[in-house]
Amino acid sequence: MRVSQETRLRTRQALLDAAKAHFARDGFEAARTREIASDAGIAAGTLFNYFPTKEALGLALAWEALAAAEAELEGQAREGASLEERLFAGVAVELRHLEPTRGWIGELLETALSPLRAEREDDAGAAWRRGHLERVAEGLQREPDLRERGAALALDLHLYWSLYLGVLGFWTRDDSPKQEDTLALLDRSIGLFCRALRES
Amino acid sequence: MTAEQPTLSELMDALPAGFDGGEESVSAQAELERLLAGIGSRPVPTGRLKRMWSLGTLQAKVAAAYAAWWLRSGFRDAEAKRRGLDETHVAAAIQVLGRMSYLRGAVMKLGQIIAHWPHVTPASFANVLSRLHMDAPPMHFALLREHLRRELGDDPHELFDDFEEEAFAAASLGQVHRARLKGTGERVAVKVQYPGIARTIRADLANLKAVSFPMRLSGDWENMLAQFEGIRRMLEQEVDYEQEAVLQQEARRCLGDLDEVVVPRLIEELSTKRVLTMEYVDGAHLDGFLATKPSQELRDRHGAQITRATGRLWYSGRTVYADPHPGNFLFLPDGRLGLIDFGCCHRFSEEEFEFVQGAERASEGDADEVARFAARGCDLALEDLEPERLAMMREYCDWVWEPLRCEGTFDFAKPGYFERGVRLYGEFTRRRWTRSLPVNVWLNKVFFGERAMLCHLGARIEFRRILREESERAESD
Repeated sequence: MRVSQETRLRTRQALLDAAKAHFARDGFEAARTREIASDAGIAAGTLFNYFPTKEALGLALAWEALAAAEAELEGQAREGASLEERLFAGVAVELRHLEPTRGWIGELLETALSPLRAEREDDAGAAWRRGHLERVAEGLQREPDLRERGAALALDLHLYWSLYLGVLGFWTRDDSPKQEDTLALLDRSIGLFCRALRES
Repeated sequence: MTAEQPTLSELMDALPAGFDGGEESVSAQAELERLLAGIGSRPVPTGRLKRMWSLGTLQAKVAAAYAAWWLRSGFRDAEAKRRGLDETHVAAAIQVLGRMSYLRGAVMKLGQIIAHWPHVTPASFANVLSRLHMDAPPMHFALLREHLRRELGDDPHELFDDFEEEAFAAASLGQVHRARLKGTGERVAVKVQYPGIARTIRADLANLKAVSFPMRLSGDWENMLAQFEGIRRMLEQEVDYEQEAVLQQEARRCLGDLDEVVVPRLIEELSTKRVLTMEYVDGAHLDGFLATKPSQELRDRHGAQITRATGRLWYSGRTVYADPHPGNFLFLPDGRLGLIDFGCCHRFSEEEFEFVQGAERASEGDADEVARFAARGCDLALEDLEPERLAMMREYCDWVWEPLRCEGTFDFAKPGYFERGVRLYGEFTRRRWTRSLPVNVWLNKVFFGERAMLCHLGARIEFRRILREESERAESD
């Protein structure tokens, strides 16, 4: 029986909702795809028709959050905001939307976003990196004194990505009240990055 | 006591490493602007080791150089020497400013305390350090917005009407924004603490304790720990806005029937450990007030208000308003006084209040009573108090009690008065006579802070009469 597009979308969402609950409760490694599938009302093997791996399922949840963050950032764009402020907001809003995944996403990000990992076309982690860095590159292009970076732009983005991963990793382990230390670290990291660009 | 003066070369040797002291001509103002522009992008090192290094550099070099200069020497009017030293002071102040703003935490607070002590601090150094009151780099709105969302649960534009995205005032631990309450449209001030600063201060204090470790071998170690504990509580209290909110509300009740003093109303539902929202009080800080060239009558009126308010808190509230620096007072257009910061208040324990009452009795007592009080203040038995130290304690007590013993008006700006107190206090430190009851950490802070404030104001006050009235009022309640 062919499954309608509508049914596929409903099932996909059910899987995401179930995964969210299981990952939050059990952690990423311990969560069982069999149980996630069961809660979503499908057979265990069918899950892999929707998400090829458990990793892809976890990243899809992160992807949802990032899409919501993107929408919020577009609505929030402040006239006259400095580069530091725009870059800060770009990460801070992401982290806020990713908050429900903070307890388990670290394990996933370690492999999915690692700069040492070879990039694949269908790689969700690579897609995350590309999307994020496109936004950063656009932000840099809007600055009159940074517009003509040329070949240096690729290096700038590598530097940025290193800082970003550092903040992300810190955030996953941050036990300060309301993760305020992450905000402070992000503020300083972005400041450091912008200063390095302007002085180079 | 003969005052020693370090030679210029000794002073310059004591300055921070890397400072070449005038081999090339330095435009001090330009350097200051450059440093201020760069401050916002410098990381705050919350790692313990980095903070240890920074604190060590500051204490070992700059503090030693300037403590020696300020506290031992008079202010001789040798023009050429003064000019040379002024340039040295400004350049050194710039380096100190760079480090203190870089640390953006407890050490900046210390700079604020020193900066507004009048006369004693070389004028140029004080001018530079005083900028720490208002020129700390602000949190940009994106950071503020995320911080407030976490603290208050929603975007500031949703929680308030007309939330001003630019801060209108800075504090060493945060910044203040104006807004209006939804519904009533009441003007409010929203004080927001920089995220993570509390941990920075805890790291500072852990380092301070570690550098004090060598003193463990002395008999004063236990007393040092007790004083340190007092300082730790003081600084931790300053970063806890929930505690400040409680103290502010208590102060508002305590000072409620003083028509001339305004304590802002707290907006509890929009306040947390890191955010304080309160009624906005419109007034000028000390510099702005003095720029209007106020009459002596108005200066005296405000001085009396300060004395009355702090005295009411002391006797009726049994609370020390321990951070009486210019940023905490507002001079209102209608002649009233605003008290706006309660981050540094200390409630006396029964034992501590008994001690301060003992001080007042001793101020009127004979030499033996002063000696017994001095020993108690040093947390020593009278027979263990060295004669020289006792003599200096008498001098210090006389300095503290001079306004209290004065019938009629006392002129806090009278030449030499404030410098004498700082010189005495510095001598105690130089001789390492630091053993003291922990409550004196608070008392000395208020003695110097309030007197500095009144000196800047140029106020002539019936100090004794006002405090007697407050004491009697408290006893009759």
